[in-house]
Amino acid sequence: MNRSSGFLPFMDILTGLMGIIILINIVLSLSLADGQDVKVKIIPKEENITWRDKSMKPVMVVCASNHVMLQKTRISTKQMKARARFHRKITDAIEKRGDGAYLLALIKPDGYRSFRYVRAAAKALDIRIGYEPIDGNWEMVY
Amino acid sequence: MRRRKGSIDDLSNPLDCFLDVVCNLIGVLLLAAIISALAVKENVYDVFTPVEQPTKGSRHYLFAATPEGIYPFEKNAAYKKLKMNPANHTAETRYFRYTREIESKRTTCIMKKSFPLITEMNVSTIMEELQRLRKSIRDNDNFFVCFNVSPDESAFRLFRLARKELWENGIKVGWVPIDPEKKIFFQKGGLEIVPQG
Repeated sequence: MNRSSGFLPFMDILTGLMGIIILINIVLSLSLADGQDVKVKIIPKEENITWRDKSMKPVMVVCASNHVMLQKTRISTKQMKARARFHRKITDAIEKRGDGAYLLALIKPDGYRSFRYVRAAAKALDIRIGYEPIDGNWEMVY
Repeated sequence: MRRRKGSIDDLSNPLDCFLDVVCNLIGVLLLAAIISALAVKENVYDVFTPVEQPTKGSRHYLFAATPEGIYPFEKNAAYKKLKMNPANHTAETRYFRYTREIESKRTTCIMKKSFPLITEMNVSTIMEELQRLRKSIRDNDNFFVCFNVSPDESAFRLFRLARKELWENGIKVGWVPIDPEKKIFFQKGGLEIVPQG
């Protein structure tokens, strides 16, 4: 009887451990199933690039519903409408990256309107641009 | 005494067995947790993104990528029909209805609801469709394919699959985020269509 009662606290610990692991499993499988925050690495496609000898340095612009994220700076649609200042911000970001820098617009499903400002700015400033559709839950890996 | 000892053994044996089962179960669960954690950690996709390529006079073939599927605009065929019969200001293709507006000198295009030609299941057939629209797809430097892509994750995924198929066949691809299910206007000075790659 003493031996059997000695098992019980240990069993409690084991059962508790099992519960915790089951919980971890559920959380992990849910995050896998939902595809939340899918990590994505955007790689510049370098075929047919005229500056093949230089390395390409993308300046990422994430286009969302009413704003864009230029690197880590949030620029609202209202700020984008102030064209001169918006262009200045893009030029600064490009100059900061140095030779081979270009704009890479990552367009979320709700960000196609703000993308038009980015594309127009790239055209006005004569900056090369690439653009890619991205899902709302994509997390960029730099 | 013997009897009593025997009863203790009887009680501990089932407990040992149960403990074995519990420990094994914990081991399996731990293994599953490790695998899931690794799967979550390594879930990084590579997406290749090209830059816009300046083109002059390059012919393009328009497709609409919607959440339901991919539809060819068949713009050339519609314009041919409109040209052949100027009195009639409308022309229909398999998936779109084109209308020429006399005053504004622009052509509007509305999608007719029908079963999509290309879906995620048969995305490779885009090459056959392209071959139908253009007899020779060998001279792939003289033309490119452009997609009007609906602002929707399913349409984005379908576009990426179709683009991959075209890239593998050496064909340049461009795209614009636009809702093809709404009325589209074709006119000079509109949204520029440029290939990327």
